[in-house]
Amino acid sequence: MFKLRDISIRNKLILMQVFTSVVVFGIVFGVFIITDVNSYKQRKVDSMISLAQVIGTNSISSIQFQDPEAAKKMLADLHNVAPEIIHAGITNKNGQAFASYSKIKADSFKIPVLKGKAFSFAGEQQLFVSNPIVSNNEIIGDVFLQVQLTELQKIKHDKYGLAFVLLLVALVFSFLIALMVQSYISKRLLKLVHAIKKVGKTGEYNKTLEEDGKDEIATLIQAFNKLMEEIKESQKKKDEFIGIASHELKTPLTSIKGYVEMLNVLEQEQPKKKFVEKTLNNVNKLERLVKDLLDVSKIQSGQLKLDIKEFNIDELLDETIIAAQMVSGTHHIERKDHPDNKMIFGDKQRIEQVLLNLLSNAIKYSPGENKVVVDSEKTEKELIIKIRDYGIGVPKEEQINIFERFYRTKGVSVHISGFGLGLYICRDIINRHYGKIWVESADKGSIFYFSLPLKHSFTTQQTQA
Amino acid sequence: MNKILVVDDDLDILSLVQVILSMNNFTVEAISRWEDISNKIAEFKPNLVLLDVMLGGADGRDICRNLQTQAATKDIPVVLFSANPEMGKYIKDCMAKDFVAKPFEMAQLLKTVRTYVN
Amino acid sequence: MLFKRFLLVVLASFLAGAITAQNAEQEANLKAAFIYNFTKYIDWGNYDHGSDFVIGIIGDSPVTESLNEIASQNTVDNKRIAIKTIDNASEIKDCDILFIPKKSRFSLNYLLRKARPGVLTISEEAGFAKKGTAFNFVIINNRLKFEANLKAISSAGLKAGSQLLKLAIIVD
Repeated sequence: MFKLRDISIRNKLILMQVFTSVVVFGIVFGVFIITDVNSYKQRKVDSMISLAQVIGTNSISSIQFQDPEAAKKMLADLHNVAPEIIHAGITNKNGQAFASYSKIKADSFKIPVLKGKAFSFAGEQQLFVSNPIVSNNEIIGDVFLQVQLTELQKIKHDKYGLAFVLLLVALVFSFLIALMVQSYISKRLLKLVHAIKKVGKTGEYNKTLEEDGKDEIATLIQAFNKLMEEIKESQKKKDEFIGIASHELKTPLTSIKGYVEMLNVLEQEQPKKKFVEKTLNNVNKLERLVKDLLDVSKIQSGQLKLDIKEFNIDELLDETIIAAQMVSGTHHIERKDHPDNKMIFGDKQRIEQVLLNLLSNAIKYSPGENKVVVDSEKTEKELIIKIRDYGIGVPKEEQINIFERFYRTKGVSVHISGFGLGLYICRDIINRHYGKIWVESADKGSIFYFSLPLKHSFTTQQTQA
Repeated sequence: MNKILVVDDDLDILSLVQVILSMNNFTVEAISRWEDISNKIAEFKPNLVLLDVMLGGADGRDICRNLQTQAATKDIPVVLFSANPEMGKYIKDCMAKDFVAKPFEMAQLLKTVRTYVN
Repeated sequence: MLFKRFLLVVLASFLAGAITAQNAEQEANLKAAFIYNFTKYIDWGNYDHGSDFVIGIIGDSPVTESLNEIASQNTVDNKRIAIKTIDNASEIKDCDILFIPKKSRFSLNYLLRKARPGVLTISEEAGFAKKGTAFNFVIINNRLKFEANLKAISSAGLKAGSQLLKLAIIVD
């Protein structure tokens, strides 16, 4: 069903103008034509009555001298003088026919009875007039004329035809003009709509629109700009806050972590040692969370910067496996591929962050099971790292969502800790390396992949960026 | 030669670092007021300065730069110390030798320190 | 047999006579009406015969009675119509119209001589228009028509309207 509301503003404006033009012109033409027709009819009546008057005057003597032949002869002249008259009749004062004239092949219409000076229209096809014949203030007879209004029909036909053509012309013109003029309104509006859509899609709040004029659209633009300002401000404040907060959180954390670490070294007696260990674990978790928060805030405000250098990925893999292994008691992390000192370009610290995150996830999401396998694959263009766990896996419909901020898998029976920021940060880091990160389900557990372009691809991409 | 001067305006962190380093056979002096640095260096003659960046009223980077440009102190290596991981980028800029992020792992702190002090 | 036929003839002639009698009256009325109507189309110009409009009739005629009828109810140029039976030729010059019935006492030429300008002569005998009367009634196809002699009209110093003349049989 065609909904008026759903047509674009641009088309609505055009439609409105065209519709208005057509209606207005239609009415104007209609009125003009009707008045024209009416005045024609009036003129016709007047002229026919005048003609009847003349006929009457010229028939007086014929009537007086009872000579219908002469009258007939005069009426017959009408054939040439007024060919539109199809019937003319003269009656005497008793209403009896005195003389008449009929044009051959005349249509038979219902002939009205007219008395005195009178006229009657049969639609707009025929006109009947009658006029008394007066001599010495005495009515001695009547002249009756029946007129075929072919001329009127032709006029009407021509005028309506012309009006129709003009209407079409008006339609075309109004359409063209509307086309040009509507852009004045809709262009600005569409620009605004486009900007809003873009902001919604990209989340970039720093684009403002040029303000022009004082009308409602300008007001909208102003409001939009103000809104963007406010969002930008509040984002800035939020980022600042997160920046400051995480900085401030780190200071006491430094002391806590440091002292608890020392306690861990100093304290060997159980159960104190266990208490200290637990405290240390949680302090470390806290530290990671604070770091993640800070990273996320940086990502959001576009401040996350990469320190790109060439480094040995195999070496990094080994180092991070050892580091992760140290933290995990139950799991065994093994490397499936063969290290061969592959060099790649990237931010070593951040790649390390990604690896540690994925490894700790692998451990976290396979409670009870105790194997995590790290693999790598080198193609012509990129290096792919795979981290396989044998845990609870990720359902297919969630595989896109898990890389979103604050996303936690639903319906998980085991309590998994964390903000849900890790994968979001990993994705950002990998994207900035022009790589890809994704997950696939294995028959048991999941395999996390991330790809890093090899050095020549990266540099070319860098120069492209 | 294992004398280390630690400068940080947070007293707890100051004593924490002092304890960690002392426990690992380093001779440590710790000050919280950056104004005292010059005097302390002259007096203590450390082999390494561990310098916090966010000092109340002063920027550790400026101080580091100063130390590295003055004849008396330019040979003493400085390691920057901060909760802001971005500070690591300013090492070259202010002629520091390295950067330690807070919070730190004990092992990491010790490793870094040992690199510049034998 | 012979008697019946005789009766039939008498009856027929009687009837014919009656019809003829009725027709004659109609004809007289019609002629009178025509004569009256002629006045509407004739311009006597400066010829003025007095305060009345005089129509003179030579001798007796059935038209006289009809004319009297018309005269009692109508005027010509706001003048009373006077119908006169002319016995004396000297009265002719006082008439506006002179009607010459059939079988009048005087000869046409005599009457025409006596009719000075200003007198409209009307006759009702075949050929009289040609002989010099202005108008002459004729019956054609049982219809009353009239001949007009334009020369006679203009000799009489009168003008006849075209509306009248177009109905007339012009004779010259």
